[in-house]
Amino acid sequence: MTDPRPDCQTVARWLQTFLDREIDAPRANEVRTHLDDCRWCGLERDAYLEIKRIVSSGLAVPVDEARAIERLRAFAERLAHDGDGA
Amino acid sequence: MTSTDASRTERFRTLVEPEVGLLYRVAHALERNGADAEDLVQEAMLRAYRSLDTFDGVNVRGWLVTILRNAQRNLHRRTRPEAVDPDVAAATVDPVERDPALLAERSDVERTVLAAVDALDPVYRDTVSLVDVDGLTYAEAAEVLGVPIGTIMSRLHRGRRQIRDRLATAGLMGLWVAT
Ligand SMILES: [Zn+2]
Repeated sequence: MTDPRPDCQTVARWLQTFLDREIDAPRANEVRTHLDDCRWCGLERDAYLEIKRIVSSGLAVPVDEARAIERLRAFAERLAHDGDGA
Repeated sequence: MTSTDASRTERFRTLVEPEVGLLYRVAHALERNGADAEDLVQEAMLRAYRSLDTFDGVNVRGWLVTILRNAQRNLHRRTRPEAVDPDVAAATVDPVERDPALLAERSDVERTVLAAVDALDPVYRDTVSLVDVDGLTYAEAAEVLGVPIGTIMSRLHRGRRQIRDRLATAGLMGLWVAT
């Protein structure tokens, strides 16, 4: 009988969908079980969690992007306030 | 100001303004250039403003992104070929600058992640941001960018992998774990 448990390579392939909660429940359980036992994959998970934390904090939004969004908000506010001149 | 104008102002503020960041990131992923993305979002916001009265209020993001994509098609109908495959074409990378004073306050791990994000192909960066900053699901990201879900997955995988490799190269793997 073959071992149905996913190996490190398979877990690496599923890891992003696991962390983004885009994976189905049975697979998520398999990944979770593997991550509990495997130090190496656990380290990978921690790295990606940290990356996700930093990116989702908005810290990683580049200055030029933040400035563009600021200008666009001002544009939106003028539009809301003054109309489109039509 | 008539009452219709007042309610339109209010609806625009509540519905459209909170999505400016998302619209910019979608536009940036489509245009691959900051200035063009900004023009496109302005045009989309004008169109959204004009069609607010007929919008039923359901699925604001879907509505806005449809407007944005239509605006993009019109803007480029004459000037350039429709689809440059961002996963194949070389990127026109906008220079990224960061405030050194703010960077100095960050940890080594954070600085390294930021540098890695800045170095990403803009399409990878925008896809990662749409999922992690704007909170889109894979299906939503695929829909707004007009690509298959598999493309979203591979962009996320490759983008994050590049960031992870920077951490590894810098010898920072595991250093965020308080020991
Ligand atoms: Zn493993």
